Amino acid sequence: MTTQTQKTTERNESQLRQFAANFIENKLAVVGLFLIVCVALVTVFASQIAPYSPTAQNYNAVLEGPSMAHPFGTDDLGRDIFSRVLFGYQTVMTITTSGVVVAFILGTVTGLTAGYRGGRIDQLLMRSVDVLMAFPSLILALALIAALGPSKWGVALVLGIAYTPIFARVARSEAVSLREEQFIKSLEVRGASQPRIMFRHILPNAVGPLIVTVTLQFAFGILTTATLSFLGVGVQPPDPSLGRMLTDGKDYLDTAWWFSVFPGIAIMIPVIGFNTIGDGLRDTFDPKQVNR
Amino acid sequence: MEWYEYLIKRVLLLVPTLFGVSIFVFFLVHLVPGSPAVAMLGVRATEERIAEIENDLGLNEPLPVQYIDWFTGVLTGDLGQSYSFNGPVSSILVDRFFVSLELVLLTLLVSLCVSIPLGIAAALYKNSPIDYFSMSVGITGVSVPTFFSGVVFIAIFAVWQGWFPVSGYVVPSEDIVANLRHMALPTLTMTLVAVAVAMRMMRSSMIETLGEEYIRFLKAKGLRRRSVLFGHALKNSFIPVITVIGLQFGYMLSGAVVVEQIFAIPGLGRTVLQAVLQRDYPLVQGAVLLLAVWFSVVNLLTDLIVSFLNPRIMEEET
Amino acid sequence: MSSEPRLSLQDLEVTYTTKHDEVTAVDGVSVDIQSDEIFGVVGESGCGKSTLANTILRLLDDNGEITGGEIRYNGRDLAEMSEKGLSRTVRGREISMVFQDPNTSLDPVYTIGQQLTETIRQHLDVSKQEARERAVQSLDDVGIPSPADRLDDYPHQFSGGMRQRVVIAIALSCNPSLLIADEPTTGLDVSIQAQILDLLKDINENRDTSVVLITHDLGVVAEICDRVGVMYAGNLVEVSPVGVIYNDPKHPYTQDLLKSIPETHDIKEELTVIKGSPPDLRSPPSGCRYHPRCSKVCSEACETGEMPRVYHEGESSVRCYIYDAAENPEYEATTNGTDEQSGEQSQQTKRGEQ
Repeated sequence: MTTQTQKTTERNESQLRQFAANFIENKLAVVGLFLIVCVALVTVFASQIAPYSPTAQNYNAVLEGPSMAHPFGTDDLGRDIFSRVLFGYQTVMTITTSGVVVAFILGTVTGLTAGYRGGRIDQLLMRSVDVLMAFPSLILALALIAALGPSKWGVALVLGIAYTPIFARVARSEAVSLREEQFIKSLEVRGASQPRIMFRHILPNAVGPLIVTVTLQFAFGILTTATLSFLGVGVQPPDPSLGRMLTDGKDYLDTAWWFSVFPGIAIMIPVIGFNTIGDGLRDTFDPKQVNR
Repeated sequence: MEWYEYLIKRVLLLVPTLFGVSIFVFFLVHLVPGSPAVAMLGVRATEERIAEIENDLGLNEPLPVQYIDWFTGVLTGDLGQSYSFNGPVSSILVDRFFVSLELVLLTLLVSLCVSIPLGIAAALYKNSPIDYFSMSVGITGVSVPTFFSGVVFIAIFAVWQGWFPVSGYVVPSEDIVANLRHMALPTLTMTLVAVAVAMRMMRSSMIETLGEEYIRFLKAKGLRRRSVLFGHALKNSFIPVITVIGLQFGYMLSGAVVVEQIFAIPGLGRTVLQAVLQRDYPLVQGAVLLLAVWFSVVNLLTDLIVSFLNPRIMEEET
Repeated sequence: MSSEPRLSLQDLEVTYTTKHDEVTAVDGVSVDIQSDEIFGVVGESGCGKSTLANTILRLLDDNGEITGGEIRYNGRDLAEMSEKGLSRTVRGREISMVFQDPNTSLDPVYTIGQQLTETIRQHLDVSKQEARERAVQSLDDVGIPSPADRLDDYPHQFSGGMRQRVVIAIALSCNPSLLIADEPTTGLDVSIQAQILDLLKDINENRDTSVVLITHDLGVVAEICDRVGVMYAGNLVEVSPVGVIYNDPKHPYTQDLLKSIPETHDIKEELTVIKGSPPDLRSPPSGCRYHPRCSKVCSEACETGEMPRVYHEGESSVRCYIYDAAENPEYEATTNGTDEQSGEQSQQTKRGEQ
């Protein structure tokens, strides 16, 4: 028994090493990983790094260009844009992470159940997923916000609901193919419980495609959160928000480009990061299915 | 399976989905905490006005009766009255729909002209400068928020160079040139995203197809390179691209929200946003329903085109 | 045998370049394919036999390249021909090829009629109508029932065996003089395999078409081949008539290969698995590439010398030092050997070494 486990871990380790080696071959994805690590660090340590409070107004320094004192300049209320970007990251990352976690949990449970159980339950669950899929995600988000009212956690919940179908589909298709595998059959014969089979045995084997989905949904999630805030139906003031900064900044483009350009680039960085990582992971997990 | 059987099957599959969609849209109003009438009118509304709206919305009836009333209305084209626009929802939506449709069709046209050749070139000359160029366009396109690229385009092409108007809309029947000038920057903004998605798909699909065994067999038959590439590889690799383009085409009508908002185009997206901000529930319901039905129907048509081009798909799905 | 060979490979060498290394997948392969014979190429997977097959029509993957040798066909060297000329005059016209998996060999979005007629019209100057008639004839030739009705069907509407017949029909539609079949029966049921092999044999007998059959299955070889080439680690280690291969194999690898295959064997005799595994071609062994697994290493040259040259033994040619009088002290030329070195000479060498 011990030797067997040992063997398995050894094999997993070498697989992991092979996987890491393949991933590193993809230089774009490594750059993406670097971007994400940077964003994660400044998000976590925003209050330590930020030179000013994100809401502190200074009427003596309104719409000032980039300088040593204000690396990204100041906005129309004299607030430090660099500090606001850092805290804007905190907002957008909190929302996106919560949204993706909710979608992952709801979607994976739905998809695994549908795929593993099959039959009536499959039909019922996937028909509901189809209904959600019939709404373009931005419209679904707007519709739910219309009902729930705009708020930070509202956006997170909306992302969670809007992205559930994607995770459900991925998890289901993995479960359907794994259901027929010999090792699952033998677990059934030995009387393992269904939840145990689903979450201890099928889920770990479906982890590759799910991770790819998580990464790509992170990219979409950041974009959607920023978009909703830009449209005025997402994060509400005084919470600092990258999308909202562009709403205000776009009116000053000819006189104060930094007001919108820095927040705009700030949004792009993690999105590029997650997109390239997602592409890289997909190529590594499944070299044949190059893209979707 | 014959193609018409497939068609019927697919249309029948759409029915329960659209039924679900209608239930979801109907219940949207009931998700509103408290009374939707209060939400719409604000806290200072008079009792009588609230009662009047509640009566208008039929909120005093039992739920199934409300649903049946509402759904009958939908089927006869009566989506209720818009409070913020003062008019029947259906006629407002129809007007706005065609404005957005022009934007979407222009975007589709321009993006296809760019993305398909670029994707093919990138696949044929893998790891060449043109491949790197298209890959960076691809990554940028899917990573730039449209509200950012739109704003940047305004700054460059409207404010700085003055080539195009900053924003606004002209009805095409009035002045087609002015209409297109106003549409240019919104189209460019949406095209960037559309090009990225279609081009990436074209590239990867072409690369995958070129690695197929039948391509080697076609070469072994002595077929000219041109016939192998454009007669066979292109047709095969274009099929998955059609799926992606169809998805995009269906989605773009909704994705136009941002662009219509930035460029002040009175399209469907902008209307939805205004309805949401005004809490004009009948209009929200109508617009969401229209967009969902449009999305589903476009996806169905895409699937039918794809299965027509690749008859194997029909077999696999049965 | 005296006539001009149909295809002659001379000292062929093919190299794949990957990001990190170079692999010589085919090394020093020389063989003549005669008119009207079925020539089998056998070997374990990864020995380079598929590469060899793809090389003849220059259908290697992008990272593969002919780095030496000649492919003589009809007075021309295919290795030197332009891509265009090759497509116009050789591929599908003079030499055709059939691949392993019939499920992936046909373009799924065209009917088989379209795929047949495009081949015919590519090479023969015929009208659409004539091409269609020829297409029906081709399908009929390979035993597809009611061929005219099936012309407008798509590949997925055929069963695996029928699909391979269609592939063969396309390959034969312009009456090539050589057909290269790369594992044409691997993906098929056993009963269907036999039908496809019969078909190949039939083609070889009734047309002026030589067949090169690539396979890992010695049973298949026994059934239809006239002569056999055995490949190991990129080398063609033995070429013999099929009878010799089964009754008196020359190369130790061929001998071991036969012992490891159940159907060529008496049940009483023990099956042995060849010990070890084929070498990594990124750094092939010195000397004979089989020496780390060989039970008959006869001299130092096996391990450290050059790659053994080709020795002629009767109707066979072998790359093995056992047949080198200078290296193998126990060598005695076979009675009907073409090697003129006498037994005396080898005796002398033997004595000399003692």
